[in-house]
Amino acid sequence: SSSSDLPPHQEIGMPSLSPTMTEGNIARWLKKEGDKVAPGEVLCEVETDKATVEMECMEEGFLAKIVKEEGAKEIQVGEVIAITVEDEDDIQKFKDYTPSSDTGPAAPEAKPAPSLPKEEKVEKPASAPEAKISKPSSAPSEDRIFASPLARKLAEDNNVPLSSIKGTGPEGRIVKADVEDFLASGSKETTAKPSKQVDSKVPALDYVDIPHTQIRKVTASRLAFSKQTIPHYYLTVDTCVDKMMGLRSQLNSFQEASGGKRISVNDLVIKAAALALRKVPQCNSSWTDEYIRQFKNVNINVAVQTENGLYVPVVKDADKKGLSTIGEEVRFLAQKAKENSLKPEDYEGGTFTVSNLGGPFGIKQFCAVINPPQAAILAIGSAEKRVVPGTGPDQYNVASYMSVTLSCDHRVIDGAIGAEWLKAFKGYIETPESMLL
Amino acid sequence: AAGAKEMTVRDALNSAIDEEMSADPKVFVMGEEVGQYQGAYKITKGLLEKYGPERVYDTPITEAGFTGIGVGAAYAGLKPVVEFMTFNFSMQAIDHIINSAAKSNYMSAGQINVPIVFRGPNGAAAGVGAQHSQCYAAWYASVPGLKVLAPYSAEDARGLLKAAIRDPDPVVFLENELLYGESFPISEEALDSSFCLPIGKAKIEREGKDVTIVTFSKMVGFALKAAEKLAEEGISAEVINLRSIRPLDRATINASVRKTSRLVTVEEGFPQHGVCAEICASVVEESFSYLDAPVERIAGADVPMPYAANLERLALPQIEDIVRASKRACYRSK
Repeated sequence: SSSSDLPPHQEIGMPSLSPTMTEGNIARWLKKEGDKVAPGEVLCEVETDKATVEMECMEEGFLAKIVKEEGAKEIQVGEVIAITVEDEDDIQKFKDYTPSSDTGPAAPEAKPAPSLPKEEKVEKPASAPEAKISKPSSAPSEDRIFASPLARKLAEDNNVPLSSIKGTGPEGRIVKADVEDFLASGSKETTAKPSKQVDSKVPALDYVDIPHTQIRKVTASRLAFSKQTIPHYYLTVDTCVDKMMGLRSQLNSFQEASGGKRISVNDLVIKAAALALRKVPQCNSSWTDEYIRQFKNVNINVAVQTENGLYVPVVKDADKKGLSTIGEEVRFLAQKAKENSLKPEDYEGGTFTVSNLGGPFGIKQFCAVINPPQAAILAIGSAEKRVVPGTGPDQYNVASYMSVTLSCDHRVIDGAIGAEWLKAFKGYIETPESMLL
Repeated sequence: AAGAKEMTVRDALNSAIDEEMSADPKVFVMGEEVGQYQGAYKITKGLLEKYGPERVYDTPITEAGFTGIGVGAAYAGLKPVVEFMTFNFSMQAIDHIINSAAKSNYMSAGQINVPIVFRGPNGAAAGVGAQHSQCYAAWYASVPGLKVLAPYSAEDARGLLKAAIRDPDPVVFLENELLYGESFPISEEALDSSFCLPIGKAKIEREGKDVTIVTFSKMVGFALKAAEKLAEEGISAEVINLRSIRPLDRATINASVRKTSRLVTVEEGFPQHGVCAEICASVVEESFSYLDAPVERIAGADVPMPYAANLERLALPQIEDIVRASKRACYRSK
């Protein structure tokens, strides 16, 4: 139908409601065909790429024909969506109106949009005028790191490699605030990069990377936690073991006679430590943020090195057990540790730990790392014969001494308390019969 | 008493000349229409009546002639204040300004002083086309032997013009037509006849910590408005009013940039070899390691000034341009 046959009318085109809009949808018609319309009245609601916007009528007249029904989609900007007429009587004449494809009359905004070929329609959004400011990826992609002079200097002053900082400035440039954020976050990745450089400079080293076993991971994390959070201090004392050795050989001769297992120095040490803990219970405690828990049980962990790693099985209520029971339990637990068959009840619940590198390895003295949440650990050095001055001039004696070192959590055990414990322990070792009391 | 009184830039300039003429009989005014017509922009209003035609000298329309007379008078010990109806006309007399005035002290081994002031409106006004809209700040500030001042407020106008008249060397004094009628608060101190501002010292008009905006003349007002808009968005801008283009107060500019790490420069003149370019060079030379963003330069468009009002607006820095540049300098992705 040629519009030249039709009375004067206005073609209402799809409006451009945002700078980026190329097409729109009709969300809802608020006027019906035949309705009177006035400037400022809302004709319909248009969905743009950004929002739903009300389209207002510009001139007075009547809505003669709705060309694009409610729900019509992807209508190009300028495409005719409706016809208005000035004269009410002309409404009927537009009943069968279809917009002409090219010879649009008066209305200048009525573009020949309906007959646009499909391909062009697809292309249009791509060439939308405002393609945002996302410039073609000139982001710092390769090895050049872009940083402001200030950020560069700040990073250099703080020994932070720029490669470990994410830039948030224009085009991903690292700015001062990025370096400050990085420093504030206290990232530890800092050390990761230099090692790579070292690798490339030093001639290849011959090495093997040993994957962590579960026990290695646990040991590492618990000991690191211990050393990082527990304020350790160390007290060392020499104990004369002559009497204890005498008692031990006596006891062992009984054991042999009765077919029992031999009593070790370690067993005697465990017993003496357990009794000392009864005497000075402050050392049989755990620190928590709210309180110090003092245990009434004396459960002593014994450090056992195996091929698989370090285990610390526990001898429960060691203060109440006899030496042969302690000896049997330790041997049994050590065997289980070697077989990797310790159960949680075999190592949980300890309140104090004894580590012995003296007997098996001849270590003279050492400082052990506390086994959290315990508050102390006793490190046993080797026993050795020493010449000691006698009472008169030119007099001397020979005696065997064993150095022991108590590592204490100062949050729980003050120096004098630790010393008191060692005094009690030394008393039991040097006068072993007092353990009977 | 600050803020109690207000004064237009026109009155500030007029009173400054009046006071200096009254204080020193060697000071006289010359130029086109400065006497009987009371000045094309009324800067010399009332002076003819007060000081007579010997000291308020109406000249023919011959910049090349009367500027030469002025420079000669300065050689001979007088203190002329030469008015150019606009600085665009000073090009007729540029040989006198540069070759006769700026260089004589040096070439005479200090025997000849040239205590002269060349003053008049400079830069774009409104709708006066390519030939009458030019900023001469960069031109004259590139010449050793000249001092170049550009006031913004009434206080600047009084303090700097009095300093220029008292100065023993030639001073180019760049006013702005559009500022003549603007009123500014003025202190009692600035109203005192002994008031004077130091040549070569910039003024921090507004303190800030995120970005430094350096500019002069009319653009100081734009920068201050831009700073207000930036403040609404949480950006604290420091605005520096240069006051003196030559000598340039590099110390104040660099101290501010060292504090804020970001610099936006604004001028109405052309970008190439402009005042902004010189500021940028100074900061890169002296404060490179303190920069956290590229220097943003806002200048007049690199075209002869269009006559059409819409194009003229587009060719000159606007407040929004300063806001945008400052945001670019402060940009961080989320």
